[in-house]
Amino acid sequence: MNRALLPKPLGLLVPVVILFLWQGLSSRGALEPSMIPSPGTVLAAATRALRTGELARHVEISLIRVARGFLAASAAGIPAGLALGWIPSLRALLGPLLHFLRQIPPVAWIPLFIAWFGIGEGSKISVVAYAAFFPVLLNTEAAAALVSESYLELGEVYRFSRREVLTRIIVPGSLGPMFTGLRLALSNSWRALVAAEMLASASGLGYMIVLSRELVRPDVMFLGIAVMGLLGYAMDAAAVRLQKAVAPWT
Amino acid sequence: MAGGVGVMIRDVVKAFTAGAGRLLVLDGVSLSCRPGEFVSVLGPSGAGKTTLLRLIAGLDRPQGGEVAIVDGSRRRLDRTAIRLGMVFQEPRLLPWASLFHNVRYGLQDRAKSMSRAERERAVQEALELLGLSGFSSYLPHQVSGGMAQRAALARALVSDPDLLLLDEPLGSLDVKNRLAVQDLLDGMAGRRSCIMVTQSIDEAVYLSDRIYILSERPASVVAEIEVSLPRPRDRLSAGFARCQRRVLEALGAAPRPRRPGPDLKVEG
Repeated sequence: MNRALLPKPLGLLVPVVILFLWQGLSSRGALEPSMIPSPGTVLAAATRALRTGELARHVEISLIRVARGFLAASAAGIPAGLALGWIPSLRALLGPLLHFLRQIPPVAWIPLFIAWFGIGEGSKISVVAYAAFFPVLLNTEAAAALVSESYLELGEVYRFSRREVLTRIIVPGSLGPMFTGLRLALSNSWRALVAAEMLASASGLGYMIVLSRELVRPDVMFLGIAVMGLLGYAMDAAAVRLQKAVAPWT
Repeated sequence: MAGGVGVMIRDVVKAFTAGAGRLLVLDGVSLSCRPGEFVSVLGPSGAGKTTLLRLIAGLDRPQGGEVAIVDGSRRRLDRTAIRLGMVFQEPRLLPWASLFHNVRYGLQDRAKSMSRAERERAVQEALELLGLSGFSSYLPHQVSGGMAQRAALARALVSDPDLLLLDEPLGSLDVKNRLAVQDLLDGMAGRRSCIMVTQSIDEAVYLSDRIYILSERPASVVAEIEVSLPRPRDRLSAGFARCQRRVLEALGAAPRPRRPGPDLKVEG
């Protein structure tokens, strides 16, 4: 786990080669522009969208939705995961239900969520939260349940209170897998959001892609896809950094 | 605990389920540690020495016999009534806590009667005692194995425990630190009860008032050797060598008797 925010130079090699090949093929007319527009056209679409502020608007809306759903899922998933991991009877009680629910793709809930929470922000944030909840919950639960028996024995010898067992052993001992869960949750939220925006929205990056298809603007479509990848990459890298700062022993 | 804390172990039987079978580890072990006494337990690897310490610490229960913590007049004490210091075979430091915090977590109820400044002083003193004063903010993975083991010793001592349980505590220390920590433990002799599992005969003779020798698994006590040499002990003394020899013999590993060499004839 030692990745900086930007990829190492070697990791940039393949994307750059692909870009050159792509541009080269496009210039020679080997690619049908309505199917695969050239990198130059996509770049032009990007500068246009940046200038008009349209890209920033969609990105902002999408990011806020992801943030709200992701934070809600984490706020619920971390304590619930710790509790489930720590208390075996609770795990026995709720485990089967949770494992049933987690098998349902978040997108499958969209029609119902729209009926329950309306077509506005509520339904989209709920889908994001649903997608993010399970990775956080399950990774935290597994970590808390697997905190080394030897550390718990240490707490017994040195008379840790139940609260001290939680704060000194269970929580810090679960941080590594918890971060893995948070990273999975971030990318899950991103995917779920785009699906929600493509199905029922009038804003956001997902909508931008749907709209560009209707307007037959493949360059904007490619732009939307590239921005999603870049934002997802940046969020994951930020999460890795955060983990290194908060839990350097993991 | 006024009057000191002792340990009485009588006819203890402990078995573990191993696969489909049952592995008998301790088969009627009896031993005791009087208040203030330093007791060592020696025996072959896998004899159940660690299991014995775990039973005393309350981390395991015996299937037969009894393990009792007692006061100076042999009255049974509840484990929660005493302060225990324990050093496991491995340092067992919490990886996410600095050496300072790891040691602080050893304070137990002693922390309650202390101000924040007093707690900090107690922890720093314990670290200093083990030669770790400059390292209080380090995380365990940032220090050597020997230093981690010394931090574990500091954690065991910081509460001024009534009973100290040591499971081969000096195994990963270099010679210099090993001797220094042995002298530290020697300096506490008579002031607190201590039961140490060790592989080192030298260490056992240097530190102990009494040495118990265990047999191969399933373990029972095959010998109990009183060591009544004055402290600090002189490793080069005849008494020290005699004691070592008795331990070796009890372990069934006595050195071969020396063959008489050719007589030297001085002529002229």
